[in-house]
Amino acid sequence: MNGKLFNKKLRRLALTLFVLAVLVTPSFGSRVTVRLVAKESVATMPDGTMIPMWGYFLDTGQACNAPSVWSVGPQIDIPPSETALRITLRNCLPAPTSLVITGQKLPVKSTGETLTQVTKVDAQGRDRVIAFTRQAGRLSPRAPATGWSRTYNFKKLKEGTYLYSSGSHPALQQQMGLYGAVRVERVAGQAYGNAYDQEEVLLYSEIDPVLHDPPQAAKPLNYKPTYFLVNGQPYTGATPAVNAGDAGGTVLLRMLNAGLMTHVPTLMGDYLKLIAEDGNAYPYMKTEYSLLLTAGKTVDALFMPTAAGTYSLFDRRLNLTSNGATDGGLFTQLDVGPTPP
Amino acid sequence: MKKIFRRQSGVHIIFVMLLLILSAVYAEAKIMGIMGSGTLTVDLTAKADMITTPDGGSVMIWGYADDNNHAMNMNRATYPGPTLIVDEGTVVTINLQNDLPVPVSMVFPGQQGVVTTGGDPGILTAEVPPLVPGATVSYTFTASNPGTYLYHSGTQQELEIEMGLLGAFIVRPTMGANFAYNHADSQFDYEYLFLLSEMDINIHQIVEFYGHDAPQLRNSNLLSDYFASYWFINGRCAPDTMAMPFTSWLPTQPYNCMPLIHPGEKMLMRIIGGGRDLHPFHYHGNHARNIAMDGRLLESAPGSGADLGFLTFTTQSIPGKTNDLIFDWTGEGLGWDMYGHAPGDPMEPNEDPADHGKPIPVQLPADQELTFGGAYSGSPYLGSLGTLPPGEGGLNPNAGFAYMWHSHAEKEMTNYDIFPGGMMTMMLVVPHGVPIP
Repeated sequence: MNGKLFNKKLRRLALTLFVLAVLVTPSFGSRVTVRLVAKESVATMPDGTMIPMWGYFLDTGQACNAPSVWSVGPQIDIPPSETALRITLRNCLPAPTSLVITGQKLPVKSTGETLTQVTKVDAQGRDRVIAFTRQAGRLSPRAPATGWSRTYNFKKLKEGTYLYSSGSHPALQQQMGLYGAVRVERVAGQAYGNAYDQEEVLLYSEIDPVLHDPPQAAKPLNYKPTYFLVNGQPYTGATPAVNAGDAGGTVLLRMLNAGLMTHVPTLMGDYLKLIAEDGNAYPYMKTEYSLLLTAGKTVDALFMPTAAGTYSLFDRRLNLTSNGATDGGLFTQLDVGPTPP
Repeated sequence: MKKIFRRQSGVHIIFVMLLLILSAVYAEAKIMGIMGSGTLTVDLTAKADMITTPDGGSVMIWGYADDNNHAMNMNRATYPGPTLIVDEGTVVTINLQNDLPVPVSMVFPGQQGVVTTGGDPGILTAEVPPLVPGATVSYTFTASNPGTYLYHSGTQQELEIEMGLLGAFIVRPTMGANFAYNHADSQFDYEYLFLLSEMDINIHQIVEFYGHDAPQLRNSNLLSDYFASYWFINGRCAPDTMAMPFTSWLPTQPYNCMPLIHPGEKMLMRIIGGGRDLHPFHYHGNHARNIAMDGRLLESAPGSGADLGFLTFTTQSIPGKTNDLIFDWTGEGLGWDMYGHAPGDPMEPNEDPADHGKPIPVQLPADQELTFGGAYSGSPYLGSLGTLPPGEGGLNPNAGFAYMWHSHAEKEMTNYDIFPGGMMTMMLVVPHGVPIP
């Protein structure tokens, strides 16, 4: 057979096969849609101190000036059937804001164009980055009464535990309280191929009230937090223990540091198996009783208790005070029941 | 003027003899502490006392005092508390009493199944109440796993660990006293403890003058915006780290940190993060292999040894964590004979034959062209003393090679802004034949 003709037929065959492959490949799941609003809020500490905050809330159409009780941003869960996330963020803050998920790709517009960083030319003619991604404008007389919105599409999400937070003026906006956790699952009940029975998200953060009224940027010389929070609240004697399943089971601890200081969560009475960092699985589990959680870091660890009891997980950097009072701060109790018969 | 140095064997032998005589009182180079096998019962009392810093300072501490006077200081508290050293499988019981105005306790990171009797429940463990004469809490557990650990107070940790209620805890494997774990990868010839900690003197002075509940402390952010001014290895600031252990002029600081090694032999470094700050502990002279963390070998599977161990020359010491490292120094690759041998001279133990007999490739400066440090032996050769101007040298009678081991956060090498000081010591490579106490 003529060689040239043979190649042509081969190429046509290859093209046909390729087109067929694309057509019959199932498109990967639909996406998770979350509507958030960023607004001013107030946090009340156990000693009664009220602190102005900026927080993320589920957008129920609430008015920008509606009173709200601050907490960490709503947890965003991506189940195994989904790989994409759409967040629509409505901005009720007096400053432009945006949203990034550290460790995932930058968000894109519906057209697929990446929402890249925003820059501005300063008084000396220099290009300065003012936001890591495109923003939603601030609440001003020119804005709609409900605030400007911006939609962020996150595609091809990586499995793991991630922190979402403001990508605008983070030195001010993140320490004001704009952060939350994202959980991306590939297989239900597993993290990076490790099965677990119970799961707990521990999001650590800090508050320096002096920088909240009026809101100011945190700097190394002015940032002196006096409250240390686990999932939005300092520990007190009334904090309920975490249900950590039964002896012989496996608990997945997803730990995130939304604060600006280094913390060292330490388990007393047993060991942890560290399995991932920043959403990246370690090649081997690390058997250690504590872990280094620097600012912005996430660590996933398995706790496999062999005996029932109450196990304490606390910050060995000793951020265990609430405005100077002892027995507070970054402290969590894990309750393990006896092995079921 | 060119000078050729050769081993001055006569002077060398005299110093070896002196050291042999002096070292007769010391046991072989193992970490010192309260030792036990099978069962160990230790009676401790939490007490207040003072420690000394080399800038002439006097700092109030709270420490665990051994009621059986391990520190030979009339049962006074020590900083750190006594190092406890037990064999694998030992049942450890610690009876704790309290002379302080605050409740105290003990916790044992890494140990499982600690059972307590007595005391009041605290958030971490049972606590000994203050001001109740005779009140005792017993902490009992089985030290099932070999390794390097620590203990500290579990009560008001931000205050009580700072004040000094901490100490080291070592479990020896059944494989033998010259191993750190039950695997050949952990074999060593000498071991040294590096219990790292720091202090903010403001906190100690407020406790001393106004009391632990004073508003000057509780209404300040000294405990949350922590800022240290003194740094310690095994409870001493440099240069006291290099003084003798159990010395009479540091009665509440019995332990030193003066690592010595012969070329080619293995040193086990037990690094413990005793305080609340991270420290980049940096050892000149060679890489070390980090073989274990938190009392567990860095192994890919049980029995595989330290196959996940890694070479490093700075250990990131994290609060509450322990690191075990194996260090050695051979001088290989130096390019000249570090003993100053002529080619026909016999080899020293562990000497690298590649460099044997090679002359030093530089012209050595004359005395008039040098300034002198106290650790200079007068000669560039290991084990050789050279002539020195009157009054110079003297700190290096075995003519060893000195390497500074220190926190690489350089300001931590000060005593309240005075350099040198802080978290620093000198590791000395001494020639074979020099006994290591």
